[in-house]
Amino acid sequence: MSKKTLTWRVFGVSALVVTVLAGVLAIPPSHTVFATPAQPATDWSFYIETLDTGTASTLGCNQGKFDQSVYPYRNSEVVLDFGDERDSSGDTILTFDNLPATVSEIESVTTSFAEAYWSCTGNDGTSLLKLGVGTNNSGYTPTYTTGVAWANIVAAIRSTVQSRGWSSQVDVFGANDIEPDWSAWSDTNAWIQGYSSVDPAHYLDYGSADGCSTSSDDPNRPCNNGWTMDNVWEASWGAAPALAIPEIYNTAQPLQWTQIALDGAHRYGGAVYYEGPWDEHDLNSSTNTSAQAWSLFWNDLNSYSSIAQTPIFSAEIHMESCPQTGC
Amino acid sequence: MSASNRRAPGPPLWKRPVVAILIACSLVVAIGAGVALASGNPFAKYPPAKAAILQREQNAVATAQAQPRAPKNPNYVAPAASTPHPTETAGITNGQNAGPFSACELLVQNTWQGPVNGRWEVVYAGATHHDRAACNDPQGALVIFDRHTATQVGWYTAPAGVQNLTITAVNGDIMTLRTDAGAALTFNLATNTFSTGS
Repeated sequence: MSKKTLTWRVFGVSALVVTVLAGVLAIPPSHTVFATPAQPATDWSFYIETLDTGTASTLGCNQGKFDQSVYPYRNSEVVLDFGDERDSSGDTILTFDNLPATVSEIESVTTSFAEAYWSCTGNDGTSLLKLGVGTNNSGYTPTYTTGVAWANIVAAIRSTVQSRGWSSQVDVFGANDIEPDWSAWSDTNAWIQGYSSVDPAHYLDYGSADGCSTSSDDPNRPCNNGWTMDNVWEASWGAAPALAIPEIYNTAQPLQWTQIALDGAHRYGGAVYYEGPWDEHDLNSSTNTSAQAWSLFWNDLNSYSSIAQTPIFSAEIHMESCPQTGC
Repeated sequence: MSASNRRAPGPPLWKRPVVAILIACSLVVAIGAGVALASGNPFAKYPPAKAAILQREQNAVATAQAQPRAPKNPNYVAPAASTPHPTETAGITNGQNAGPFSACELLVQNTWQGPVNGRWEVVYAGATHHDRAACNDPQGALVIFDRHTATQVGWYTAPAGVQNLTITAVNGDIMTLRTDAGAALTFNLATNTFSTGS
């Protein structure tokens, strides 16, 4: 074999190897079962009970100290749940004890949490708190006007956070525990449209897919209360400002949310990318732990190459008084 | 055709230097594009309208991080709680307050709160669902919390056949409930037991 021939053959083999490597880099993750990746540290969200700004500050400071303790930094995602809107002003009825909460009180509690987080990260100027101001679609019928009201609350808090110099480490957005059994799709969709019209930031759906299929991504397949799979997709991802960190309380829910993601992939050309699983184990010990929620959710999602993903957050909701009562 | 008009055979196309260089350059570009897609913009796979909203928020954080920072108080201590237990008023609250549950766990009809056995309780009445996937197979249930500790006292399901519960009255420790069939049922808050009422 001549030297020239050998040179060209070596070049040809090298080109083939490089081509294969480029293909591997370009192709999305395949349908190969890997070990479940490590669960991120679980961030605590809270049902607000008292509207006390001191309590909110303690909770924010706890989160700030934790994030600061992780080298080099970490981002966390927390929702403060203020219950359902009681009228078109944005005032709410707190979830746990029916205490009324005004817009001013909602803003004060949230900004107290944000300030304390920022302060307690100390010399860590990089960790970022993603902070959701939460309501739900139960109670007073959701409307376009209540969606506008909630967005205005979010906008006001964002403005305060920015003016006080905390926005380098606190990103405030809306949040809604959206559950089909609580209100009609038309009403919930009106809320979404109202929120979107103000467009202060995204909103985080931390709700459920009641009655949706665990095995079919047929978009027209009914869920509960007149909703369809497609409606749940719209509320959790299809609407432009929507992201989701869905309830993974049992073994059925990760299957439902997997089908919703497949609905998106097959019907709209793109998967739903979830923020993470949400559990409530501290409030109901018969439901998934955060570790179980993570494992179930990841394994169900990654059973399909078209929606394979690894979320970046793990969330669990507690009562506001939980840290004090030793939960 | 004469032998003088026939071109001497050259190397195969893929062995020719110019072609080889073109192939190599294309591969480099392909690899670079693959690496770029695998890193960088976290919203690259998101729909454009959603990506724009999220990018706007990310830009706001980045802008703030690039500015001179307000000084943090190194001695910051969170203020003490000043209102640990707001004024409590006993009574029934109607309307669909969701309660700290998903709709499938308990679809709440109404609530009552008041003193029981030396503690302040919150009682949620409604329907739980045994089939959590379909959110079906309802059964009436009460869920009781200790309001001060925010801990669950217990979960009490109504007798078989009762699919939903609504609180209608509370006298002392006796709570009167209406079932989905319109029948009356009572619940003893002191002993946490159901009995058929009138």
